[in-house]
Amino acid sequence: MDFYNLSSAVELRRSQLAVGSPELINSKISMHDHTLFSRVGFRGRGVASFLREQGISVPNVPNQSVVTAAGVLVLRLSNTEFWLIDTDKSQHEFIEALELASKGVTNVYRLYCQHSHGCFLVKGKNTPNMFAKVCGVDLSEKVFECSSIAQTSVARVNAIIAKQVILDEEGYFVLSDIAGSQHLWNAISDASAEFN
Amino acid sequence: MKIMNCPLNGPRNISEFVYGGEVKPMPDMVNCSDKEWAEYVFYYDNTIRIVQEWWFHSPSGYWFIAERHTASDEILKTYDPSEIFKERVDFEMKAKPAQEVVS
Repeated sequence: MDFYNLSSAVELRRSQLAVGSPELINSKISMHDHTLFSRVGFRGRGVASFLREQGISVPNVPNQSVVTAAGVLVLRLSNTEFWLIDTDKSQHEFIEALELASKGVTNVYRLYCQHSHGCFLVKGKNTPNMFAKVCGVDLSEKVFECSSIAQTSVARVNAIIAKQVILDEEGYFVLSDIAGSQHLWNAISDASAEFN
Repeated sequence: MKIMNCPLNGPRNISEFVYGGEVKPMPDMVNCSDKEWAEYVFYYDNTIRIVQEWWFHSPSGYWFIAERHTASDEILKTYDPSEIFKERVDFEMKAKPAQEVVS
């Protein structure tokens, strides 16, 4: 087998998280588990031009994101690394087709972010205040603008935080190693508890 | 708490970084002696001066170069490796002819 499609068998994915309810936490902060939503990453000097050829607009500088009209979040994590994330579980076919289209393209290499990372969406007015308890980077409204990405440590685990507006609502996507995602879910739940 | 400026991500807590050794010119890996290679991989001068070092920002998987004073531990400058390394280095080795195992 020379090419295995990492986006395949979407219906067989199972979350390892014991989250109780898919939504949390209180009236001021909610958290949603997007771990099973499709996503794909690419790294390489040819990725930016490859994505543009596929009709996807990409941020011009690292640590910025854009969201397509169809609801795919495009993260630029470095000059040569991009992740594309389905935000409403409707873009699986698009992401699968994109992954297949990358086959054989020069200087485009796939990344295994579907199975390596957990993904949460955290929303609510007090979310920046909650993150101030668990994250050293200032994510407050005035400093951390919409479309920004912070790659840093959250509750002692490495995480990517991407702030973006999805369906007219501002939210923070949190991606971190799948092995630590239960801890991170619990830590964010715990940090959010006081903002009721 | 120490803060280091990551060229990609900005100022970050020092606990997010991993040390990766001194930046040194690599000897010809095919023709150099074992001693030369060992000196390149393992040995450092350990003198008081400003050293160029590899550092890794773990949350973003990003390698960069920092200039640090070995006595004061002050980090003077950090920058992307592309400022020094302009060309890709390949490690292709010529395959050696297989040797027969004599039992």
